[in-house]
Amino acid sequence: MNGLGYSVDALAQWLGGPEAGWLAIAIAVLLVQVAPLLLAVFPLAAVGQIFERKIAAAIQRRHGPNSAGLEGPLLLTFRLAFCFLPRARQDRLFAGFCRLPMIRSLLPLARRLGLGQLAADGVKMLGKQDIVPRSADGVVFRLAPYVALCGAFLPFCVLPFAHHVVMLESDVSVLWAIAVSGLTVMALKMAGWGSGNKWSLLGGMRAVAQMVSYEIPIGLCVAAVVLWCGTMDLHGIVAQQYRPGVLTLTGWNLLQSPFFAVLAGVFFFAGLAECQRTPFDMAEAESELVSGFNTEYSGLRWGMFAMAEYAEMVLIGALFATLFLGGYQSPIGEQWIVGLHPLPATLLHVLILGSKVLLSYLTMMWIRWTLPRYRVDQVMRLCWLTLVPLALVALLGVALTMLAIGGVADGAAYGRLAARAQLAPGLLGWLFAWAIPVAGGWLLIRAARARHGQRHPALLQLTQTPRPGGHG
Amino acid sequence: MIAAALFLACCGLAIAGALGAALVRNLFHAALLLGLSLCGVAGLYLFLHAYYLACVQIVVYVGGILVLILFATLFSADVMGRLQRTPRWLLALGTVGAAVAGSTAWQLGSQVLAARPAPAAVRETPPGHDVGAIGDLLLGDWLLPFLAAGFLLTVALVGAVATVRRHQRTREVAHG
Amino acid sequence: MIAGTPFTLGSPETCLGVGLLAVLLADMVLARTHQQLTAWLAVLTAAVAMAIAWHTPVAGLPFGTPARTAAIAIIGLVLLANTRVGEQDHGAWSTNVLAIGLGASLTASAADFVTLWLGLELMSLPGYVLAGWRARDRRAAEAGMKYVLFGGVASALTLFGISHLYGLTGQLDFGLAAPAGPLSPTLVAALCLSTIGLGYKLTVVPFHFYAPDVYQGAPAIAVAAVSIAPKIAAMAAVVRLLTNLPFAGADLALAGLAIVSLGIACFTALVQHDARRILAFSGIGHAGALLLAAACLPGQALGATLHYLLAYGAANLGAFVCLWLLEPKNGSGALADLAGAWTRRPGITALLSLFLLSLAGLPPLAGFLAKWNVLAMALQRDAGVADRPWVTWGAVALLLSTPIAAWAYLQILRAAVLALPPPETTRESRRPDAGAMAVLAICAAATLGLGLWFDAASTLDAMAR
Repeated sequence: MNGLGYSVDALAQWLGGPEAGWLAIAIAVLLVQVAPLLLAVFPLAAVGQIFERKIAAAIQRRHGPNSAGLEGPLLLTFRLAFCFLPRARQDRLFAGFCRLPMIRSLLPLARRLGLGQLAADGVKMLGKQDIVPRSADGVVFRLAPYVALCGAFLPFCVLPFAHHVVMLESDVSVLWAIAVSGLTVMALKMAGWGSGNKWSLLGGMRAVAQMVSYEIPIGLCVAAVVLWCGTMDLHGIVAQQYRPGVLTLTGWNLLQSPFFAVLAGVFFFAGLAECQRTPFDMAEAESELVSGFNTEYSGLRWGMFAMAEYAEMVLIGALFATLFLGGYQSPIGEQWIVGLHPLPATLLHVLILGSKVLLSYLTMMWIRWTLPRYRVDQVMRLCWLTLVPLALVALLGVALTMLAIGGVADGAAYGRLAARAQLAPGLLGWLFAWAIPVAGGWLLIRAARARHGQRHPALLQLTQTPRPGGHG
Repeated sequence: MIAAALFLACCGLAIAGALGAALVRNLFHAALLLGLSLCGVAGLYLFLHAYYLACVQIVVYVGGILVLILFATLFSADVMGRLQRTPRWLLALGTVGAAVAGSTAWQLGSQVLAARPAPAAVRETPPGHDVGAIGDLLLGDWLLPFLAAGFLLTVALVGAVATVRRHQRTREVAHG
Repeated sequence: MIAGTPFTLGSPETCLGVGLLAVLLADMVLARTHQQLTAWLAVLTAAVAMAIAWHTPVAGLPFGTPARTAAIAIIGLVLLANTRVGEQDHGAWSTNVLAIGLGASLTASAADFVTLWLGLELMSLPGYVLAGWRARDRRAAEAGMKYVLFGGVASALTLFGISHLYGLTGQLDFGLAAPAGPLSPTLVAALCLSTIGLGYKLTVVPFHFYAPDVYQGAPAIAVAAVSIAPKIAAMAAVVRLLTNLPFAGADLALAGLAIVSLGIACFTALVQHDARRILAFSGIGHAGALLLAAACLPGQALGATLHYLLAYGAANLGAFVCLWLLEPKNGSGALADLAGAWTRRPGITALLSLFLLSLAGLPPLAGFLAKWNVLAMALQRDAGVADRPWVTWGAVALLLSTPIAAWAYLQILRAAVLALPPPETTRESRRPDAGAMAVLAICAAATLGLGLWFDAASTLDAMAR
């Protein structure tokens, strides 16, 4: 094991070996390693926010934050750093610093990009009064943001950031990620109920209904990947997607069969709904529900919810990359990266995973600032009538593909990892896995068109949703 | 040392949560405390090296059933109302029940500690590799109950849908 | 080694399961005009499953084979009686009834506690739905609610007991869970807890509270499905438990429950004003008699139990189908609603009286011979049969309760035959179709045949041993 893995082992030894129990290790790891992660994510979330504001502005053809520069924060830093000097000396030093050629050219750029907004927002968030409404249920209200943070950050424990860089190695890490991210549901419900406010209650109920529903397509997608890879270990799933040679990306799950493409789409949309992002943000619909479950939250508590949301976006992106895009592996020439010294290899892997996450992050923002919000009934309809059936069909398709190209030929023990050779179907099998479903789907669509014309009744039902109240 | 403390904490969480769920009169709080208890039990599973079971416990009970219970509490009347006081007779009955349960638990515990035969199939598997063993059991010796459970859930789903649909239909008829 | 009930492809459970899914799919796919096919598909499934059950012996329990067949047959007859599509959500109806059959089949063939519990639950869940079948009806809502709450508690206690059993013995099999020596009190407590679910399905006395309300609230034809098949299956499980886990106080416990059930049922039935409530208390009493039969198990009791089950099942099914046809649509089963039945449908009323008289135990009908067999079994004084005072007292209770219960049945008959219809009642009742008439004919033939088949007990005993 390389990288962080060592420290986990050392920690386990220090705690008394395997007898110490997995939980002890987990909690120690949380304290020692998640704390820095948490500290790193606070600024990350802020950066995410400024990033989002700029992208939104770009999509809406405006400038976005463009007048808050970095002078103020820098001056504050100087004053803090040189607090032992008299004030006039501090000012002179700062002026000298600003005259440095590189700084002089960069400061206006920072102002135009609105980077100072970041600091301003942070200070604003920290400085806001923390209000607990009189009608709120104090304990539940105060506890909810922490539960939300737990739900958002605990899944990162099992996420492989690089080759063997994972905080907790476990046989069931996918399940763990799904399980603990379910805590967010509890948090939203606690927030909604604990606020003692009917907007919050409604928002909380909507959020919970939505998240519980969308966990099903996510679970089905994960089940398909687990079936294909024969392991519930995220690390194992990444390892399954490794192919020697130049084109590592031929091993990515996304490209294994058209069913995986469908599954990836379902996973992405359901993940979007899990993070409560537009178009699935009807739970915090600010125009009708006064931003739902976080109506009554202010200051740092609100900030924790926001941070949990950003962390969850990152998580969905990272899981998407891990399940479908080969995880931390490079699309080309992974072989050589593995051959490098552990340190640069780890750095490269983290960067590659980061760029994959960034890709889905950007897509999420693009969707957010392009699409309108779904109505409650549309959200449920999309989940139960579109995503769940699609995922079910794709799951069945993946199973049949495995049967066809011999993926379970060695399954003497039902899916036991040790007894299972790596599933590498070869070019012919790969072509087969793509050609048959694509041809079948095309024939199916043609047959449906021949029978029903361009507009299949099922499609009509999906596109023309009846309005509540029956005016449709 | 730390492990022992954590183990005891899990036990405490499970027991305290269960007690709270039974004793607290506020429905929402009771449901949350039930969640605490369930998490404590999941922690105990972790200590037994049953990672899969622990994850499933959280997915199914905390993420599924508890959320459902919370949803139901939100629909119940007077959930935001004042707390009621527990009547005396209920307290007395509860004490008697607790005494009986405690003595049974004590007897059971002493018996279990005296002679604890672990099922062979579970003992064979190395810690941390229980997923495959569970799969073997579910699709091997216990295939019939496994399938029956699937049918049970299907029937429950059909029943729920049928009930709701019938009510909706009659409402439509009633309202024209 | 723990090992569950074996799974075989050629079992009635497989047939019922596949049929259930097929009915579900057919209901979804078929157009409204072809819904009739769904109903007949369900009937066909039950018939095939019955045939398979007859030819597939239950592993380790000969008694289970006829019991399982009978339970599935009852389900098939219920489906056959109600094939008319249109007035109900038929796909859901067929699915639920088939699920009861699946549960009954599982319960009768269960060799371990997990399968037993799943079978009991599979019989309960559709029962909850069927109890609340009449939407927007206060009584149906009450029935459904009570059924769910009592059923949930009974099921939870059963699971609690099973978990204790597993904790104490590390086994879930009926046979393996019995240690060699005397049973410890904790194990006895666990066993008692884990059999609560069976008591609930049998509606013996401490677990009977839901029965009258459910029988009253659910549609009569649904009651026939909810009440009879589970009882037959649960009796098979009781027999399996008694043969696999013989413990000293079993006959005492069973006879005690029987006495209490018989006593409470016959007196409470006297003060009811609803035909279905009377039949509910009759069911409780008959459950007591069945437990009495089980209490004298070593002996010829297997045949007597089986005969009693068949006689009770045929007469009860017939009675409920008759009530279903005589009652006004959406009616309850109030005795007042039955008034004038004789003038409206004399044939069905005559059949109803036949079934009720059989339930009351009048010769030469099946009920008489069944009761006679059980009494003979309980009062047997042969060499080799240990002295069982409690069973004797149970026989006395059965003897005493019979005339009292008969008076309650006569109340229904008086309402149906003698009472004149109030002039304003023009409430419509169902028109009997061929399926329902066939079911009535089969039940009547069984009631008469089982009553005249004098050596039934010994013949059936040979089959069930």
